[in-house]
Amino acid sequence: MLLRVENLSKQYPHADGPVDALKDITFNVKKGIFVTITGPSGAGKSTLLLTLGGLIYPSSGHIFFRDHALYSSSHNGLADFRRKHIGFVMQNFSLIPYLSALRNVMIPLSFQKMDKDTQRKRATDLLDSIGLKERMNHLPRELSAGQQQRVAIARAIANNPSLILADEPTGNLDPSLAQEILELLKTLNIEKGITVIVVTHSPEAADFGTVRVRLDEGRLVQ
Amino acid sequence: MNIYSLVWQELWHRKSQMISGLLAITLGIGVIVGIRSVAVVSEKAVAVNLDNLGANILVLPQGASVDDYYTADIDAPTFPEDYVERIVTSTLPGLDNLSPKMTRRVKIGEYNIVLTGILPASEIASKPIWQTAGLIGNDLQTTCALTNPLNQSQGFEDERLQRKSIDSLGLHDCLVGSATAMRLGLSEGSKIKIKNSEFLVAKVLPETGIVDDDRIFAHLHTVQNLLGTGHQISAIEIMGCCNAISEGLLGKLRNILPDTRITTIGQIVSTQIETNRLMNKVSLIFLIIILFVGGISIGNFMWANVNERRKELGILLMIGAPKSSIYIMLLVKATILGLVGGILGYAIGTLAGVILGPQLAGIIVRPVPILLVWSALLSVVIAILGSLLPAHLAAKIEPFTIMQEV
Repeated sequence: MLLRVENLSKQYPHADGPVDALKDITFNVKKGIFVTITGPSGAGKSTLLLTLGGLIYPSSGHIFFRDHALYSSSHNGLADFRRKHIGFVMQNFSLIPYLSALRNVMIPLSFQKMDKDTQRKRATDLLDSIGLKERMNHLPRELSAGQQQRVAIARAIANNPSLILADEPTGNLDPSLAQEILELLKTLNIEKGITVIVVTHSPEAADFGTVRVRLDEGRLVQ
Repeated sequence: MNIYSLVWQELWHRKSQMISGLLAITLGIGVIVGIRSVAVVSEKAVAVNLDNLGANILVLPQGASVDDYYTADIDAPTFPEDYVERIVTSTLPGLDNLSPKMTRRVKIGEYNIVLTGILPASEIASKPIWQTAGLIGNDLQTTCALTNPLNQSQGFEDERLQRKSIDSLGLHDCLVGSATAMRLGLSEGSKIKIKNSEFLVAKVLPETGIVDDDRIFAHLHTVQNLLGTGHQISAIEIMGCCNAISEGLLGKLRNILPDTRITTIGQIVSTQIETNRLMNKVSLIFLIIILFVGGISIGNFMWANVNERRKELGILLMIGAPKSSIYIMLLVKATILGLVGGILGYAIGTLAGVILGPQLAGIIVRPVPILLVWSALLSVVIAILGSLLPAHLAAKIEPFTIMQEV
């Protein structure tokens, strides 16, 4: 089992009293599956995704990654976990604006203390594999939205993660580009065996999931 | 790709920010360098001017008083002339012109006149007012510079040799104070008999307003023979560097000459020390102001930079950058800005000093290379100190809050 989520709850403090974002959620994620999480706004989808990614401490409950309790680690331990095991793909692409596509993909490799030449070769190969070799020296603003999201995906898989967490990856794309990105994620899931969890509003995107989950008011309803 | 190239790319991406950040450091350091460049030259000029005030240390025999020295009491004690050699051969820093003297009252006609034996060159050198009468002694330049190349250029390869007096007054020549000359009716070229020896008046000294006006000066060794004192002297006047005096020069002299009384000519020394202290205080005040203003400016700049880059720093943290990397990134940036700002500040401050010094202060300012090292060090330290808090706050950014800001 890649992920085990047990009785996970998350409350955000608020002046009018704490807000429950996640309520007592329990589920398992097997290695190599493609999970889509849908639900209305404020259902807790993004909170769940970021909690699974070691970015938000839960209020109660546990997440086990390969049987290791995720939040028993320190801040540095969580950073280490994200660096080695997780690839993030966000709606707004989250690229560093002053770095070329190539350098954006090289960043996570640099945190692995990989030498410069190896970083460059790996990043070039990744961009080549997603059809962006010709654009590797372009800045994000010089790329289309679809190309930027592909660069973000290349960065997400640079460190050979076992899990990709994607938060509305097609939210800023037109339908044809959205389809292209989802197919790319599906390919990575099938060909490289990377487990993918996608949070989405889109029913079309949800259809890509081999496992589909629905959240409502912080609870798993399906 | 590494932290340094990431910092460089970010600096280059925000050029206008980089320039404004550099400007704050550069101007701060430039002001300090400008002030210090002028101060260094001023200190030298002040040191030379203070030298012109004359001797500031008096070595007297044990048991003698300053009154004895000035009144030339006939029974005043003496000490051996060899003591001059002891000082000359010592390695004490901060000592310049030594003027040994033998002083006694002698009867000339119906008048009691004070006869003072001197080694002429050193005496003239220590009395600038005599030099205006055309008497030329060693040009001292500045007392506090032991290895002053200007002194070396005069042929004194070992500067201690400069302290040795050069005899240029004939053994039977004398210099006559203005009041004595008037009283005895002497003028240049006159002859005068002192204790059965005839002397030629080589020069009538200009009026000084001090005891010198009532004295006759002859060669020390002639006076010693005339008075039958052997190689004894009544005092040594010394021009000491005021910094060295405040750092315990008198105590060190007492160790060399234990059976003497060593005293300072208080007003001169205190003027010298006070002037130096004032210069140092002014520099210190500016340094503290720049430290505060520079530190706050760079801190403000870095804080604005961190705020602008919250999303970008959040992305780095999200993809696994350790918090230490964020710290290092910001401190490396501060170091680069500090280093470049320090070097530019040195260049601008020096240039301003060189150009404005002659126009505003009437002094010629030359670059002080050591200030380059201090500028770079100081600005790097200021930049790092000013960046510590912003770097700490940046490392505390929670990536998820940034990820949720679309």
